[in-house]
Parts: sequence; structure tokens; C-alpha cells
Amino acid sequence: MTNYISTKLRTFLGEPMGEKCVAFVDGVDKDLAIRLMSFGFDKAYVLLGQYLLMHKKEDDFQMWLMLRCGATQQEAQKISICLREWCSTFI
Amino acid sequence: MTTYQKHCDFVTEPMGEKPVGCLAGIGDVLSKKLEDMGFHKAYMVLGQFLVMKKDECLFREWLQDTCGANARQSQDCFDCLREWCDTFL
Repeated sequence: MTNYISTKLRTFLGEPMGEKCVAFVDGVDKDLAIRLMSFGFDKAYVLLGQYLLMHKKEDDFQMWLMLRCGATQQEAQKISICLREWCSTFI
Repeated sequence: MTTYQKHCDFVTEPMGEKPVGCLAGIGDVLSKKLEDMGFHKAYMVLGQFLVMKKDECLFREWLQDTCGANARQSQDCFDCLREWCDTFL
């Protein structure tokens, strides 16, 4: 993980995710959020559920994000890191 | 250990890498069946709970179909995860 932490990432990692929209996950921009919502991943916790179901395997999760949801590699990596770090604090 | 004690133990702290058998409602028999299906850790069952959007009917039905949990067991497991989420998620 780089030394730079975006404001979006810092904000997301600073508290439980509760009912936050999936758009709050670092790496999820507006277009990706719309696609994720169309697939049923409207809340951040639903995307977290997918990550946990994939046994927190980041490579597999990133591949799923790219192939299934049309995320770019950069987006997939940011999302994966975001959820990994959130889990390390709250799960 | 009673189900109540198991529930209290689970919902009062992060689950970390706890095995699936730590979930209330999941005893030795169900634990083995879930592990055979790939659900070794409690967080994996949490994942299933979350992708089902914490829906009680869907989750309990999934649990019953996946490992043969009865109504009481699936209720206990659902209640356990719901309360854990209320506190930590």
C-alpha cells in the first residue's frame, strides 16, 4: 500500500460502513457504482459480502470486479485494498 | 456451552478468523457440513449473509438447504449475525 491515502479511503476506513452506498468504497466511481447497483451491489456491505465469500482472496476478487462488473485494473485494486483494510480493522 | 452463551460470546467482539462453529446455531454436525461446502470461517457465512442483503428468509433458507439446519438452528445463526452486524458493521 502506498504512503498516500486518499480522502475517500481515509473516510471509509475511519468508521463502520453501515448502510453506506457502494459508491463510498474507494475505487468505485460514479459509472462503476451504477453498474454495481444494476447487479444488486447497491450497498458497500453487499460488495464486502462478495469479498468475504471469495475468502478475501484479492486476486480472485479483483478478477471478478474486472470481468463481471467492468472495473478497470486500477479500480479493482483500489476496491480490493479498501475492503481488505476495512476488514483488518472491523471484522 | 448454551446457545445463549455462544451468541453472547460471538456478538461482543470482532469475529476475525473464528471458525464457522463459533456461530450460534452451528454445532459440530452443521459445522462439518459447512466446512465441506467451503465455509470454514465465520466470516464466510457472514459474506453469504451480506450478499443476501441480510434477508432473514433468504439466509435461513440457504442455511437449511446448504447444511440441513433446522428452523431453530437457522434462526439462532441469523440472529447471531444480525446482532453482530448491528454492532460492528
